[in-house]
Amino acid sequence: MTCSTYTKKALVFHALYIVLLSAAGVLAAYSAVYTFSHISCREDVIAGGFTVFFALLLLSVDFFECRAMSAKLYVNEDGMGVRRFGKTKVFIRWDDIREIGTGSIPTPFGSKERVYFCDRMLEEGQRSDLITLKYHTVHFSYIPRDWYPEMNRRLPVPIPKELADRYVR
Amino acid sequence: MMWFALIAALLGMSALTIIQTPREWLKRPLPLALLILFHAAGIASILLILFAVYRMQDGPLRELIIWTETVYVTVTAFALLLSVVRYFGFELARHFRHRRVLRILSSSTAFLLAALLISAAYMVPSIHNAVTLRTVTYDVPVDKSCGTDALSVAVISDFHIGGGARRSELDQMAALLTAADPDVILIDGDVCDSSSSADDLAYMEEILRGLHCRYGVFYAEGNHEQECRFDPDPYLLRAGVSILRDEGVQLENGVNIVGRRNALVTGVPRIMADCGLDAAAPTVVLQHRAKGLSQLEGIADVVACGHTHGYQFPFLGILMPYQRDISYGHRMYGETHVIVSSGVAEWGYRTKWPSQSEVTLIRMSFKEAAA
Repeated sequence: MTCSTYTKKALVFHALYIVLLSAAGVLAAYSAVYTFSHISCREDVIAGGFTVFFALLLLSVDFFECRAMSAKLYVNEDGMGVRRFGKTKVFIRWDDIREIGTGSIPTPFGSKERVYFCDRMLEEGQRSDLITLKYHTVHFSYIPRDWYPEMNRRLPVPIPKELADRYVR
Repeated sequence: MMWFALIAALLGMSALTIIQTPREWLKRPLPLALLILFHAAGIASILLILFAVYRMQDGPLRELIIWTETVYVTVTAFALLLSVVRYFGFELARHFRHRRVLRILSSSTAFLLAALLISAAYMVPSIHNAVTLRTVTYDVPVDKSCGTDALSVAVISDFHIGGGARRSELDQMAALLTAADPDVILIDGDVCDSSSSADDLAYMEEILRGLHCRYGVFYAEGNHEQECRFDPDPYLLRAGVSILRDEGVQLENGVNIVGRRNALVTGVPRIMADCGLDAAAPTVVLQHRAKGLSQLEGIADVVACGHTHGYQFPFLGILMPYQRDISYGHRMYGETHVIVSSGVAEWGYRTKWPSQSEVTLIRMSFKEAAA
């Protein structure tokens, strides 16, 4: 079973954002090539350098947005994980799961809360930075409602009720 | 239309910055109050410059509004740029699971400090470049002969008097022109804009009247004259400036000066034919925008342009292939020399980098006439 990490509304918003970023990135890349093929003074070189930087920045952000949008959560008989561009990036086996809880991931605009499944008991400080944990931790922004019974059946530890109330959608 | 686009762009930039503000700042009273003050003062200064500054006398209040807008636009633009850089850095740090980098990038204080520091680092040289004029000289050999072996042409453009050039910049311009002692002075448009007051134009008239050169002062219009609240023509005419709107004149030494309207609709050969100018004589074309330059190849010997302000903001280079053929400096189109001046002042905000405000001096040398 797979599902997108985005809601339908977020998908539309991000698709638009990606189109805008791609258009701006391509136009900026063309500007950079044009500027460097028409250098006539020091100012052209400086502005061209900034244009290259800007083009690379836009295209890189575009890549990360595409990567984020391609992320799929999945569960199967072995365990659960996240795939990006069709490749498994994070995976945890059902039998390895020792703790289910809530923690946060840092973002540029404040931290976001996530439900996590981890192969060991986390300390308080580790819950505020789920990304950088070196061991197996899968974190979801929500648990799809159709997955919940299957997950509950396979998990060695039960999903706490108050957590299920908040995260199963 | 242009105004609406400009206001939409600036307010859009403010809105994006507000959206990206860290939530924790909005929860604390002091940061929230400072944010509201910053954006309110900035947006008010933008609107005042567009709609009210032209009614004000030159003085501290007007200066305060213009400098507030300069700081606001710079800090907002860099904060926005930095937020994209931060996003990129964040994704990289997440990919490599680099805890310390993530901590730094998550810190709103670090972000604010970085935005202020980068803005300050940019503003120091760019304000200097905006308010300090220099003379930039180009030596231009022309493979034609006329009644003289050399002609020095000074090009001054983009005063944007009021919001752009203040009296001190016009004084500097006059001093540089006196020192350069050119044979002819060309004014390449945008002498005023929506921020110019009648007093500003009167001061410009006084400065231009005080300029002396052998063959006179000629003017071609720019794109901002149409938004000016006061018609600049009477001021220019009283100062002894000849206005060339798709017109040309032949100087006593045989050199043609052709001034084009901002729209660049009428071709130079047509203007020269209408004015009875000799097509074989050396020809200097004065046009505000650096567009359609390849069409002047073989027709004009020198084309002087303004409009671009060089690169007033380095990221404006991104518009280069879509808006203009050349942004700044000298380039050859066949045998035609194209020179784009960065202008005497700037528009919108008082910063200019990497270019600097300038008086452009073109020293033309001609082939000796056959005996």
